[in-house]
Amino acid sequence: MTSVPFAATAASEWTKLTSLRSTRIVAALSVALALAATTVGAILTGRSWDSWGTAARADFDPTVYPLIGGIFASILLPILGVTAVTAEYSTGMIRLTLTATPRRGRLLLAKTSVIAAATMLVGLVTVLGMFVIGQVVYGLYGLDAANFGDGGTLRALLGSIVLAPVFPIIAVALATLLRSTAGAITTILVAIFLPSIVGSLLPDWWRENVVAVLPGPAIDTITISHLTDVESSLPTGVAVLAVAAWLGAFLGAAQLAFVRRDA
Amino acid sequence: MIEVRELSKRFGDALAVDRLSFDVRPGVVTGFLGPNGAGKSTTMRLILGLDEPTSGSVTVARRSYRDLPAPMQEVGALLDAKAIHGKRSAHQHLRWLAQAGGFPRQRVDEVLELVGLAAVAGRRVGGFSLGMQQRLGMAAALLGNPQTLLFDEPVNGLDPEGVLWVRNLFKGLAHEGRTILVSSHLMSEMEETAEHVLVIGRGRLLADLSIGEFTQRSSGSHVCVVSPEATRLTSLLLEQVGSAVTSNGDGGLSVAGIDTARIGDIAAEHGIRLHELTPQRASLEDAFMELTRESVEYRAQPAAEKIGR
Repeated sequence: MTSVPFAATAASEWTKLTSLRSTRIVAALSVALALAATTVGAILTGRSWDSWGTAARADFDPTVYPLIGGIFASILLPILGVTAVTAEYSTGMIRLTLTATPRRGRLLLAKTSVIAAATMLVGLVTVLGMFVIGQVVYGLYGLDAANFGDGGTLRALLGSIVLAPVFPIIAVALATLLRSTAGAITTILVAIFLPSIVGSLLPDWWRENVVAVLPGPAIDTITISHLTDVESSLPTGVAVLAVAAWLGAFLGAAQLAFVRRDA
Repeated sequence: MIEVRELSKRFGDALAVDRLSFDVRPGVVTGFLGPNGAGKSTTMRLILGLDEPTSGSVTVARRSYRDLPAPMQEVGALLDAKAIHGKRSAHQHLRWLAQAGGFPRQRVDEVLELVGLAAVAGRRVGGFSLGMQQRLGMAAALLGNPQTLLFDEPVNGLDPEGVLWVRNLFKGLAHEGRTILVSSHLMSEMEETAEHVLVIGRGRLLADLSIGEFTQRSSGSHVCVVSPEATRLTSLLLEQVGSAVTSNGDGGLSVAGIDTARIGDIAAEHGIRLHELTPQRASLEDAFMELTRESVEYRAQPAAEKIGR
């Protein structure tokens, strides 16, 4: 009897995720809202450009500004990570899942990988869509547009795509720890928005040494800090380490709890 | 083969499973009986590695469940037929399970056919009746063609035709040499299916015997005798075999501890006429009630007592 390969577990989790209509709705809504917000934002920029002052015009970056719509994907995609875990507990299906795959470490890894792949795919469509829409609209209004070939642009787009799964993965870990949809969604939204809400209220030292290493600001550092001013910034290498450390910490805690607890 | 050794599971203050030891052998259907709350489901979860034992061990095919390299090919289980995601179709539900076991897509169609759900494969399982969900659960358990099968209260919600189907399925599976453990809180359900029974109450093993032994052990077994010479027969029986005889008037006797053949022989030797000689086998239900009387966790007050207050 040959043992079951990891790919089989991952394929199973992929089928679970994609066979639910709610997954497709959340993914489609993420893309649609992001592109709509970016379109509106770019049109408003184009129409009001003549009234912009020199300082505002100097701040404007044609790569960064269209990414504004990404906020919708940031809010919606973690929901996929949460429900992929909590739906198993609320239905009781987790017992069937663990009977089929009793190796819990592997199961959580498969679930995380599948969520990462799916959200990166949605991230790819969203980021490229927002960028293209932005450049087309700016072109129509005669503004400077960005190019894929620009080094800075490429880093921003690739970074945004590759890091799209960070919060969804943290969401998987939180849902595994909390086993509650409402609890996990609330916590992940707080984690996403708290830095930008309280960050500006804090003294400089706190902003530079504490807020900056939180996942959200660290992601911004990696993706757009070379093109525009961000609230709190780290050296890029440190920001990469910070994101990796957060992922490791959340997944590590989730693994420990998942392996030890009774299903 | 399932081997349970000194298995205990504590939830807070409650000892749900208390030093259980038994084997479930291949080739027969083993009934796992006990009142509600006796620890049957907990034991099944422990066998499947879903819960960690507080102490003791349990192995399937000589390995702890979590260490099985291909668990679905070794063990199939149906714990709770309703514990599924209602928004998936029957086919999608079995598809992810098949993938988790590394089985090809066609295996899904095979088991759907086997349990009679092929026609509704594309329908969402949330709309299924409990009976259909039980069938879907059977299909899931059979996906890996496993040697060992566990079913927790599998006939709940089935219509009579479904109950018959399940009984025949279990017998057929046992006939193929598989190990089958079926839990129930209803003894009558096991009468038709199980050849061996494990009875537990309050987490403890109360009996581990064949179904025949189980009934015989019950004190309710006796022979009903009617004779016009009841008084003479009574003294003979008391003298010769020392069996317990109770008279219920009109020449009727209730004799325990001796079989019909022996009573007939003794009567014939002494020329005593018998009008009736009937073995009164205690039903499994009675034997079960007797065995678990002490260990029922939630019991209704006897009606008379309640009214009297």
